[in-house]
Amino acid sequence: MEQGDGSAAAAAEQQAGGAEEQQLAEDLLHRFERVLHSDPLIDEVGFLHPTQFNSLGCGQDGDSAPQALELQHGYFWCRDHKLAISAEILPKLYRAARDAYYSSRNAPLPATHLMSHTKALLILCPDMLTAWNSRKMVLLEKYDFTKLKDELQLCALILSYSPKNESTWSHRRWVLKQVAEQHQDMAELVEKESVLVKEIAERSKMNYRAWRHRCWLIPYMTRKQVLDELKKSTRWSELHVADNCCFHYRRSLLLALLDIRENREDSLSWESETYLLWKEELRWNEMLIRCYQGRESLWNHRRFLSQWWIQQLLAVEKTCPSMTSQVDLFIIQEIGLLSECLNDPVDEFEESHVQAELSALYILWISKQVPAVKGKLEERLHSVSIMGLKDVLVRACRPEKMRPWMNLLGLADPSQ
Amino acid sequence: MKVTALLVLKPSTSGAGSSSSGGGSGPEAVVLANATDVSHFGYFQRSAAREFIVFVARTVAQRTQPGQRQSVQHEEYKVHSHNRNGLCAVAFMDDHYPVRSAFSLLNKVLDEYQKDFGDSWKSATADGTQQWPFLTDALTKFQDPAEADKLMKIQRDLDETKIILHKTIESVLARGERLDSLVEKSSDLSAASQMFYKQAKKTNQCCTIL
Repeated sequence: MEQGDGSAAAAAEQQAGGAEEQQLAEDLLHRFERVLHSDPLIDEVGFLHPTQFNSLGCGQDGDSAPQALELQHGYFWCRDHKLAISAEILPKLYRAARDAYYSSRNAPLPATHLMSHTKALLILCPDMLTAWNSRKMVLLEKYDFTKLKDELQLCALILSYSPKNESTWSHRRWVLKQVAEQHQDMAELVEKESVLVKEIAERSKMNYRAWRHRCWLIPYMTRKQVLDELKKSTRWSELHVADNCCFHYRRSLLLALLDIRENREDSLSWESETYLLWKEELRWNEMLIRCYQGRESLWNHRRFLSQWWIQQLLAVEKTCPSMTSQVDLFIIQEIGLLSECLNDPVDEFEESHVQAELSALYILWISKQVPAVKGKLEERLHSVSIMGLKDVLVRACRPEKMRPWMNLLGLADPSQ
Repeated sequence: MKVTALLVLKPSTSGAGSSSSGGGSGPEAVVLANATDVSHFGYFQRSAAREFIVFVARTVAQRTQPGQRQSVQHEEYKVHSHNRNGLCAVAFMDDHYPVRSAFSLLNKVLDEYQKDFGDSWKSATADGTQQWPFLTDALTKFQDPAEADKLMKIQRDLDETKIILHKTIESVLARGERLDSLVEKSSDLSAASQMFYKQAKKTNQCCTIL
């Protein structure tokens, strides 16, 4: 009995302690939500180690507003729209936000509670899909453009420290879709999205998700915007030749241009415009290939460009045959590039080696994708004293690349 | 491609590159000029990033012998270093910046430094605090490696000493030296940054922030 009493008392004590702790956590959450509410323009969040957090207060200029001072006590720090949270309270804060969200989800409270709890929760854990969904439900009740804009801001805030978070990107697309259904004119919004992606791509390299978001926006663009985007992303690609994402974006834009063939009388001018654009892209790509040796993304881009280009030239030749075959000229040019890459002097960084292999694979790929020109390629190879495609393969490729290509091209020796 | 920082340093000649295993910090390179762009870092990481750039630059420059050119992989950066007759230029770039272009840029920086300041650096004992406008401009201009390639065409007498490539910063250190203890001893790094370094090391092992 006595023992039972003792343990009951201990349990009660523990419960009291637990209640106190819970109260503390709720206070933290309350303060966190107040910080978020007091500055709706926060554009960056950092979770700082306590040592770094403590060093934030000192060494700063003394003109901080009284409000900022108040926030410096404890675990939140907010100035110039930058919010720092001390990492030591994160587990506690997260649990409090999660509990608050769960209890408010089905309670007959105004939606603002739910929105503010989910906002706090999602900043701490952006992968909480249930919370994103609760927000969607609230937003669906009534179309409100300002609310949707706030939503975009929240997404941008999370992406500032977690730029590859798929749940956040997906929510962002959902919001944009809601807007698109109501607003006809998306031009300005699309422009802003492009800027956002560009900024995020600067900070996190090879961010496929960010670039895919930009690709996703293409159907909302006008033809003029697509052309503008092509122009604007040129410089970025030049400065990030190793990043395939931007080249992929350009490919999507080019494909979109082919689709937006506005069925009007000026289809002839459309064709010549696209033709020129493509030709310029090929020239630009070749220039980059010569500048930056051994970059796979550049060669991948060239594969895409050449394939369409050759098919186009073949189609033209079929309808109006001419004396000098454009296809032949193009192939001469590409074989020229190949032989140049194969004969580059070896250097200490092995770049020329990689370049030779990529150029060889490029030619092999073309021969496979556009069988109509395979004969011409072979013919042309002889004239630069290369004995056919097999020789290209043997000269430039690593052994592990050889076997699949041998099989693909039907070159494998049957006796083996 | 990204150039994060360009620095000019004077490695200490008192036992340059020797081990500093005895207590206290060993000989340290003096930073003569520094241009750093940390705008692509998160707001709260910028000061730590700045401190680390100085720390790594000092560490690498001190261990680059006169006449030597070396590239060190440090996390997602390549740190290129070129010591010409005791004056050392260091660049922080990402992986994709062409190595040859990086070294022709370093060559240019050393040329310009000697043109602007002569031999005054030989007597420098403390870090320079003044901005050197050329370096700040160069940091912007040479974000595009094509600009550095133009230099390459002019620099006919580019010395052809082999560039030594290191996979980690540890392989630059002398025997008996450890990066962790250098971090602890360094006066370039604040307590917060040292913590940041330890945290980063820990979080690199498993992908969580908490």
